[in-house]
Amino acid sequence: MFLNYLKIALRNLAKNKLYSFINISGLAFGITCFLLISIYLNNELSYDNFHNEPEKIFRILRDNEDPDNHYLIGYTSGPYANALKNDYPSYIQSVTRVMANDGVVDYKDKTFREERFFFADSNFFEFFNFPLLIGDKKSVLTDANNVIISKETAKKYFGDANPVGEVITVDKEMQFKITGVFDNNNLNSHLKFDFLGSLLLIEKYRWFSGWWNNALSTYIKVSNLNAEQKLKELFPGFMDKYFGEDFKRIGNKIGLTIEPLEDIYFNNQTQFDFADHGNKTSVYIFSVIAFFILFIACINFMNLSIAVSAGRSKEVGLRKVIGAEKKNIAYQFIGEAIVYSSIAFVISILLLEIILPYFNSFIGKTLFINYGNIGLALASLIFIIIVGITAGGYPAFVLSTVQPAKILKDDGASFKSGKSILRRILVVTQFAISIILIIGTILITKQMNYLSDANLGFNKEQVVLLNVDNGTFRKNIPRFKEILERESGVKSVTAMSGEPGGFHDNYAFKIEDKGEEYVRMRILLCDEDYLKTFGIKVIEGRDFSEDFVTDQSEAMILNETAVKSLGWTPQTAVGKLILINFIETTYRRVIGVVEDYNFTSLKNKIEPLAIAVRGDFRKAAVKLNGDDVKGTLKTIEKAYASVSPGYPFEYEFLDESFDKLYKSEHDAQILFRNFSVTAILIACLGLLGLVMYSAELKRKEIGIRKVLGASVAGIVALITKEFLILVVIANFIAWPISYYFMNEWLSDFAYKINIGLESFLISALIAFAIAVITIGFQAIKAALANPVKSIKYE
Amino acid sequence: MIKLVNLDKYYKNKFIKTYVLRNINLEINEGEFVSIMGPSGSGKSTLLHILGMLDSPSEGEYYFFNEPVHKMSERQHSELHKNHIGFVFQSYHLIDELTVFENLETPLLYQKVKSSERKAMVADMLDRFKMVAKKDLFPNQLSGGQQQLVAIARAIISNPKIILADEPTGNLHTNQGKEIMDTLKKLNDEGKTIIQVTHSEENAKYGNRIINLMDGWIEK
Repeated sequence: MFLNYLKIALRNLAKNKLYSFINISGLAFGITCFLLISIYLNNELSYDNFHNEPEKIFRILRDNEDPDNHYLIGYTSGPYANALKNDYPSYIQSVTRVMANDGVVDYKDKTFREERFFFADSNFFEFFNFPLLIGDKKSVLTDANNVIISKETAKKYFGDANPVGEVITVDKEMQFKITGVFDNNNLNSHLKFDFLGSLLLIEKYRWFSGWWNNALSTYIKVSNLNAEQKLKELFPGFMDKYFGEDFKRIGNKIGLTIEPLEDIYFNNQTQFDFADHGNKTSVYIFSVIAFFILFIACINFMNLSIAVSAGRSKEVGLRKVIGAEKKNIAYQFIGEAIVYSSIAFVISILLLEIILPYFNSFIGKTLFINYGNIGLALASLIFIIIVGITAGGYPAFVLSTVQPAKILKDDGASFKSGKSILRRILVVTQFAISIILIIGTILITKQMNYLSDANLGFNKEQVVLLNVDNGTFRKNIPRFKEILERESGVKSVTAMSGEPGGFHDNYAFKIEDKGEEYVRMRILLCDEDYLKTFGIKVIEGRDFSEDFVTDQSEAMILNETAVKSLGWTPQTAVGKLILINFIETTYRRVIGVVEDYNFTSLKNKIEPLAIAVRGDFRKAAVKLNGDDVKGTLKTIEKAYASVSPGYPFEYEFLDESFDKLYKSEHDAQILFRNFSVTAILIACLGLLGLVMYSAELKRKEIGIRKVLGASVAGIVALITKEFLILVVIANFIAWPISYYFMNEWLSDFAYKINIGLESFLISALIAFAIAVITIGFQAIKAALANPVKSIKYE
Repeated sequence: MIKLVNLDKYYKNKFIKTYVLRNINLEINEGEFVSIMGPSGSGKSTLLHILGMLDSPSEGEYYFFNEPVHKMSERQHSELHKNHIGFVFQSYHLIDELTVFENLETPLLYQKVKSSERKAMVADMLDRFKMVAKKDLFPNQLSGGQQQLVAIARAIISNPKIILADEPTGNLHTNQGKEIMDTLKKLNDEGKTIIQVTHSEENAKYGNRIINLMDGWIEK
């Protein structure tokens, strides 16, 4: 019996090649989206699930207890751990502490900056369950100079050689001996580290024993599950015991609380910590999208199946005549749907393998399909069957009720099933979503183009940025400038507290003739070549110059907005005296005014800015003249090596770093583009199903009209009109919704495009074009059919 | 074996009842070969469908081997139908996607006959109708007469007591038609009850009784 069904299913598949292709690929597409999102969600929800008794592990949090601006702090200081353990031995089984750090690591000729060089108590590997490849859980961190590294790190520094026993140098001074290798591949934890040193080393410092020096995270393992509540009740007493006098002195209190290990990853109430965090909202949104896409794909599959199987009512009638019961028919069609969904599933696995690398680079994770997982295979099987039953159930039900006496009389023309209002609503919804997404894509793209073409007031091209992140380099910047300024490929070199788009602190200033009142402005500290390097225009007065030795302590330049906010004009501003209150004690004289430039991003309005020469550098910038960029980069690297020996040369181009300010917008652009393509495809399938079904029902009507003299064009118009109305309705629904949301989105930007009518018209046009193509093919086919065939009564 | 008592069939359209069959009283015994005749629209096919339990009467009683069919559920209908009735149509109605062999096999699948037994029964049937060479062909690769032979083979493969034939020669040339009628006659001689609907006086003569229908009434 089953074989018979399978045979019929495959023969039908081969007979209706086009529809089978459309139908299966539509379903495969839906399943792919669903699986992709499932893998993503599975990954997100798997954080910290590999520890022993994870429900007993908690992290200590400090609580600012401010009802107006309540937040939690993940950093605690060194003394908490022992105090907690000593005070509550009946509730707390063990404690461990982790501190995040970074450093430059040297091993022989290899040097890298390591962002995730952590330190932890020696019981770390017994407390948490990170698997060790080499080394003993109990002893790897027992000495102050011990360090344990990840598998990848071992590969990076030592290749395939055993790293245990090797010595690395950190920040050019501290030696560490490697005692083990851990494996954090495929393990998701809120703690992400490549190196883990022993906290014993840090404990030697005096600051470490200060209760207020919050630099690490403290974790506790409780002895029973009631302890959480009990400890929370006891914590106010704990804080009073150790901080009572301090609280009295500063007139403020800080609370203490704990959070379960499993909540850390998704907790976004914690404002300050070094944990890796996920976003629960996007997990919810993605789950909804996944089920939505799958559901729609199933419904489209259903519609298409019903449309195609209208031609099979004769077969069903016959089967009933020769003895099939309702259930036999239903099994047959559900079985076929399962065959289809199996094929779709296999295709979607292939698709998934193709898509995953792109998706991974987009979300910055390493998701993969675990083929070895039996549970997963079983789940897939159940999934295929459920999808098959969902998608095939309705056609099966409709077809199994076919009355053979009727069908066999007039050759299938009386096949009918309810009204298609529901399906129409579905198609309208699908198109409305598509239109919203198309409008979104167009507007986001326009805004992004606007941002990248906008005149920022400074020149971001051909500027190489370097971090001033070690004392040697900081000290040698004058020499660095001297070397590079001799080079032909370099126009100028400057150093500053923050590049345009980068960090600009907010300071309080005192204006000489404005009494005791403070004025808050942004500040930029730099050397004399800053304005020249970035091509920022001086509109009044003069630029800083090395010819005036006093510029270093007595000069200041303001931007136009600052001048305006102080109630001056550029002309009257020059000569005024201003004090940088926080860092200096003598007034500086305004020597010039620069044209406004966007020193943050275009999301923000230009704020008042004061620029002063002062050696407080975090960044260095080299302006190239544009020829032989590669060669010049080599030159810069050489110069860097000579002034900052032993530190890795890392650079970035300013235009790229400026673009990163819009990363979330850029991500949104990609997401919108992909989702709109997805939505359009799905909507097309929905529409196709509806049109095919309608054409099937109207076969007789079309035949009669043709016999009565209707032209092909007339019939195409008749069919097309009915469905284009749906697209018009979809537009009416979509426009106000997209206007509202795009307006919200654009309100993030201080500088933005106008939402013109043309984006709406273009997306309407796209939707129409796609609909016409989808409908037209079917309509023409129906119109060209031989009328004699469709109205013949046997 | 079949008894119809005061049987009516009508279609309700708002307030108007359109009668297709009126006050049919009919008895058919085992082993008979009955021909139902009448002009188009006289209700011949409807009567045949009701006899075959593909359609149900609006009013009246239908006894099949003294069982009250009019009181049965759809499930019981299809049970009776599947075990006792074979159908032959004017336009053959084979399943286009299945080969001759598979078409013959399908009714046995629905009766859950075991695979080996099924193969033997189909082979037997192919042999009997001299179609062994054509067993792997699809219906559209056969002539009309051959298709109708397959349809008859399919109708009798599960050994029904009664064969209902709806103008079995209507789409065939004279010679092919004769072959089909001879086949039916032979089956009747072997003991099968046969009820056919026909327009042709000549074909009607194969039977031993003729029932004339006119506007839904049986003409006396």
